[in-house]
Amino acid sequence: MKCIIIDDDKFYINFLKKYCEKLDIEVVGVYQDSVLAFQELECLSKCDVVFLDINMPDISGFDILNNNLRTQVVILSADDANAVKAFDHDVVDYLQKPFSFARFLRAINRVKEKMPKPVAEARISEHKNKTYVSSEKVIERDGDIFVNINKKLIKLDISDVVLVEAKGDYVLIKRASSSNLIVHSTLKRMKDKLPEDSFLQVHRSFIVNLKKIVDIAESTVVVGREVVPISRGNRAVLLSKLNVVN
Amino acid sequence: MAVNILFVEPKYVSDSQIFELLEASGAVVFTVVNSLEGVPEALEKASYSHIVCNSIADKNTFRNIKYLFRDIPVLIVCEDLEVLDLTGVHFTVIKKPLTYQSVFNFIAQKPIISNRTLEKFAMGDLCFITEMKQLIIEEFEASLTVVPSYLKAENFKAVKSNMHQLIGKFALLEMDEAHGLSKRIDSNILKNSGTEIPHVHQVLFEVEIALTQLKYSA
Repeated sequence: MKCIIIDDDKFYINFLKKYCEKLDIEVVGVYQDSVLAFQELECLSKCDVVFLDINMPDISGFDILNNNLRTQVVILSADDANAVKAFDHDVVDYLQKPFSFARFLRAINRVKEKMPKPVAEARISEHKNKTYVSSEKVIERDGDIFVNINKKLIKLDISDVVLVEAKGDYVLIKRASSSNLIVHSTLKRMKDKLPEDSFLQVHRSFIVNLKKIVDIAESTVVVGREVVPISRGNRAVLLSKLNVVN
Repeated sequence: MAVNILFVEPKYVSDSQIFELLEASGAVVFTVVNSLEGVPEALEKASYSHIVCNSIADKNTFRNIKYLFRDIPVLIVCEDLEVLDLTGVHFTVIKKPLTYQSVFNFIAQKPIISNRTLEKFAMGDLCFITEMKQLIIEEFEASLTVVPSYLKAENFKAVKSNMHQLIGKFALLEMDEAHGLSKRIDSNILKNSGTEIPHVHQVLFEVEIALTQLKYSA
């Protein structure tokens, strides 16, 4: 069995590695930086199980879970506050830190029960420092911009962007037909690059694509499938930009 | 660990700097009585985790009241020990002057960490235990450095993140009070920093004591 650990806590990475060692589970990847893990979602999906911490800066475990992580996930958390929400994401188990070896073994048995048989041979071997961006759709079109993903410049199809969300030192770019991207940048820099006629900052943490707006309520706006908060002032600006029939 | 110290402090000695430092730690509550005669009344009014006798001028009074100390650890600051009958007292003796460090070391003698859970989870693997302890020591040392600077900069998000990471270690070391406080801080500090800052100081004081004990046992 091959696993990946995503946890910003060095202590629990080592703790988990020891437990894995005792069960001959190969730890093929360790991410202390959740942003890097987020950038390599394709890669994560190719192992048997991901041990995923929930509370991490910038990108949380839920941000990763929300992006179709196509493998089994065991959650690691210091408390049980997020257990219900986590099981809504079909995680296999929820380990509250600290956990005993017996409890860990139980989680592994659950993972084994759910593993497809025979287990696919295609495995990943080199996770660290590898960029998985090949699946990103890049469409040649006027007005595309380039974003820096793990030291590579990737062309971004602006028409596919649903929204841009500030995440600490990063921005999360949600796209309609491709997986999401996380870029080390600020919302202001993104705002400067995106065309003014198509994009509007509706909240201090959100820029939305006007063409993707589905409906507008008093304090929220639905963009694609996302519900985004909107301030009263920005709502007025938004309405002035749209073709509204009164 | 709730630290509540009864100081027996003669009027003519001023150790206000020690009190200031203890107060700044946020975790220590203390009461001062000016002579040994005031001890029985103080012990009747409240319970204390530690007693510090900064001067024992009257050995007869000490002999008469020492039975009241029961299991409370006593720090005795004294030049001439031979004159004192310390039978039945859990005592630590130091020479003058009394310093913050000597009071801290005295408080840190009382165990607040337990290796039981760590040993159980490590299944007796001594290398594993040593490695885990070393990682906790590094994390505690880092917390004692960075958290005060986060507080100073009012970066409560960073304080929350640090406290969140400590929760699991406190559980592992069976530091129940610090565990409860860190969980509370994690949940509340962004909403109500004013209420939680004293708790952060309390946690840091516990971390400092635990660090001393971890280093001793590592």
